[in-house]
Amino acid sequence: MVSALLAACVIAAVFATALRRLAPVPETAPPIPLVERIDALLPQTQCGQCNFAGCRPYAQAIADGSADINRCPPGGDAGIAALANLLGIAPKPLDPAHGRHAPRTVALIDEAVCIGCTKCIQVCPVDAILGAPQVMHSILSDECTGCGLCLAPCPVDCITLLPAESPIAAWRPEQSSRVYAAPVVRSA
Amino acid sequence: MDADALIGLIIATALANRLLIAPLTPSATASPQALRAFALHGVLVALVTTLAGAAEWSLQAFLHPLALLHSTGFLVLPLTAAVAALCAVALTRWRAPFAQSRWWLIACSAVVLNLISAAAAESATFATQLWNAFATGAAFAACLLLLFGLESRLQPRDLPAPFRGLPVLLLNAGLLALACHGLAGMVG
Repeated sequence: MVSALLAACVIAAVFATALRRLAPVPETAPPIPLVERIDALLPQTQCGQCNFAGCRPYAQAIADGSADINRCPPGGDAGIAALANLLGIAPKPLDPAHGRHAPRTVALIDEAVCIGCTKCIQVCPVDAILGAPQVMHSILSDECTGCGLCLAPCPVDCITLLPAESPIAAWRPEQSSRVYAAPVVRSA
Repeated sequence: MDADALIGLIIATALANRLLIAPLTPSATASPQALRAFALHGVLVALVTTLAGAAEWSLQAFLHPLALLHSTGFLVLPLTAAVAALCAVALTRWRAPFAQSRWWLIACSAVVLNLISAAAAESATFATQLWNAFATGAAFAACLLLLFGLESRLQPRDLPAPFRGLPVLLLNAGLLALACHGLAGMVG
């Protein structure tokens, strides 16, 4: 009995040592930077209502502490709550100076009125407008985030914002984020 | 079972494992990671063999008075598979990368080694059975590492084309068998 116990102990010690030395170490994923985590919570409409050039610069400003978390009307109260939860601070009501939360919209160009000036194309942050000089423009509704930035530059007021037909439209935050980031990547 | 047959069976099992673990290319045995993988495989086979040997003795001792058991192989096969499965579950819970170990090959090898161990020492005490199973597993791990060492030293050299791959591995196994038999003869 004693010899059996002794044998078991010795063998267990041998295996424990061998396994401890040889066991594969699980690969740990690198930590995601705070800017990326904040950016992932923003709606990626790139509307600029926060007074930044897009969601990514706003995320950078929040991470730096130079901007508050209540400047994003498209994100609404849920977005503010998620940001507050991530940063470990108390949620705040949406700052009315930056707009108010509204259902998502999609831009529509009145093709009979459009003169093909390309001004809306130049301001669209997600390349959702198709057209060329002196040629009728058209909105790619799958790409449009409904930011409304194309309304002001239009000289003939041919663009209107319509409610998005489905809350789960073809538009996806990661898609507009990718399109928005493409010129930055190209120029780098 | 005599020592010659025991050595031959252990080397043959190690050779089969070597063939199934990695391709027969010089790069497969060139890195320290490969050595670590072979060592871990050997240790896992030895662990399953030892645990299955202990479980087999206990179950055999329980079933013997009932006269229910007439074949050791009938008991070893499912018991070793069950022990291998339990080891896989326990070790994967400890370190997730253990799930990628070749458990099917470990189970098959442990079955063969347990049959060898059981045939080598019939009607042994628990301590003897435990030592026998451990020694068989450790001998297998040593053979696997010796084959790896021989291969990593010989394979990258400028071998004639007909000897590359499997032929040189078989030659290595033959050399190993010769060395072990010589040693056994000296000891005996």
